[in-house]
Amino acid sequence: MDVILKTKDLTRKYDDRIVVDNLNLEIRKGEIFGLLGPNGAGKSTTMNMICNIVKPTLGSVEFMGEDLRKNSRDLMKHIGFIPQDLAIHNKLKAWENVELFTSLYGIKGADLKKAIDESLDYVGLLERRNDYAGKFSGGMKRRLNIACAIGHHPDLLIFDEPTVGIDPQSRNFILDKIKESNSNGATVIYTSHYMEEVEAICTRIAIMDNGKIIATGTSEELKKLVVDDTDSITLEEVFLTLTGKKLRDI
Amino acid sequence: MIRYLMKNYIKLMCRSSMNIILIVVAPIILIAVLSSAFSSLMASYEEAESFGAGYRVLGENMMTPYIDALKEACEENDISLVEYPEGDVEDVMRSNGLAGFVEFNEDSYTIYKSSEHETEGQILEYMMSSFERNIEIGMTSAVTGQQIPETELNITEHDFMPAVDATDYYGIVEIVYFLWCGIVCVAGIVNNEKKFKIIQKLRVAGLSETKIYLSKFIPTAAVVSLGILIAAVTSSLLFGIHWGSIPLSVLIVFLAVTAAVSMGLMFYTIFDNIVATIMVTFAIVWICGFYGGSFETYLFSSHPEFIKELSPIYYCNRALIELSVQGSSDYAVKGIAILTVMTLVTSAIAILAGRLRKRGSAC
Repeated sequence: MDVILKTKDLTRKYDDRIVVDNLNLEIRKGEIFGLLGPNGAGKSTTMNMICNIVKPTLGSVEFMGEDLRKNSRDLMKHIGFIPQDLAIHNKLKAWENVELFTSLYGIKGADLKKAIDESLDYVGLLERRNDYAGKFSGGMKRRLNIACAIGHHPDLLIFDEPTVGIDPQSRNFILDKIKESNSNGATVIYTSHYMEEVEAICTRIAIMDNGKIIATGTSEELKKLVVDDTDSITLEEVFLTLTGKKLRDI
Repeated sequence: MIRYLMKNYIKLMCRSSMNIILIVVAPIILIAVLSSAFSSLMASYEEAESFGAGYRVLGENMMTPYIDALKEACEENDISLVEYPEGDVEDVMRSNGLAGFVEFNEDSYTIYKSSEHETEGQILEYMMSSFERNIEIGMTSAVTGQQIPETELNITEHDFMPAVDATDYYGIVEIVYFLWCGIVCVAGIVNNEKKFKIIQKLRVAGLSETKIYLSKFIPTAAVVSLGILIAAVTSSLLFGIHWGSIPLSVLIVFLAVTAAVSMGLMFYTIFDNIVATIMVTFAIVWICGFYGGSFETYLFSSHPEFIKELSPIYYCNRALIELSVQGSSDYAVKGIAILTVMTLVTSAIAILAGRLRKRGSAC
């Protein structure tokens, strides 16, 4: 499988604190890659460095064979970032929100209109296109947040905890859509605290702690790191065994 | 690329009732209140007819050798200055219908003004202070060996303050004052962008700091200009405010809007906090407004001229008022130049600060 994204000794320090420590990751084209870790493990900082939001202290990110920092303007057009925060304007209508973010990638005119309708249809909000985002429920806002990031048909979709604080129906819908995007050709990086979600959709999982990857593999492979009988243990138990039960106050 | 971003920012700003209240409603209300409250003050500033004034020399000072020149200058400005060496000043003024009286003492002079002729009294006071200043200039020139200017010529060409009524004055200066608070229009957007990390999504999309700046500067300037235009037209229709030389006035107001918005965005880029930005902007605007004639008329202001000229609001106010009452203003060109430079410099600083901030955290 081709590697679409690769980090080389990726490091980020804040003063003397090392948040991400010599991270070497390889994301393969066409996979759904899950990134797990306790609070403060460095997941979001890693995502932010991949998305060019945070500058690495050391190391580099290679995307589609090119250094992301050296050609960020072109390469970023192939990335769709769905942040944990609901990055939408409540006083804009659903279609206006999608228009605002999709147009940033140079899509305009009839193509833009088509992309807006497709994105809203994709997340089940086409019927509500003229409603203000502020009137939406939490789940609908999460779906709109996704619609705002997919209009330009990115090759890599990065989801940073997209199912926080929503009902099971919306969560199920979002997970189905992530799988659908993947089957349509998009590579997905997915971070979450919900182990069952990660286990359900991810083809490969990395567990991160203290800024380092401490284990990588499929769900089965990770379980085998702890016990031989993989049916007797859940991914959450594997996670707690590998990262410890100590509370992470950051 | 940022066309749709700007379009949606304009929608966001126009959908905010706070913006409409601040930019359109508030100036109209304040114009109504201030023009009504200060109408009596400004009434004293009506154009004066020719009038008489008296004088008396009780002691020699630097001005007394030039009294003939003063009388000549007064005559050319329709003031009849007559000597009254005897009698009580009040009685002399009352019995001769004089609007003012000047008593020259040793090293000083005293001006008496009639309460029934406030405007004439102001003119006499202004005339005397100009006369004194011209003599001082002449004496300084003599000491430094420069040619002494012809005092008579200088004092006969006084420009008296233009006649303006309270409605016109406050109708114009309050519009100017509120436009300088225009950064409030974009406050909701930048606050939302920071709170929900929308700005990061703009950067993920590869938007440069210049484009991010322009995507806010252009819509905010457009919305504030539109709001101020509505407020100015409405107040003009409601209260009969006279704006002089409409194209030039519109240009000055528009440039003031661009300067105000770029200054506000510069502070936001530096502080990265909208509350701090608004507090600093409002404080600066208040100080500039205080010295620039937004609260008391710059015409009667006792602040030194050089302090007033540090305030960009002063240039806007003075240029617009003079355009209103006399159709032209020496301050118009100065104002246009200052506002243009201010817009360019603050925009450059905002973009540079944005780049430095981004370099500190991201690529």
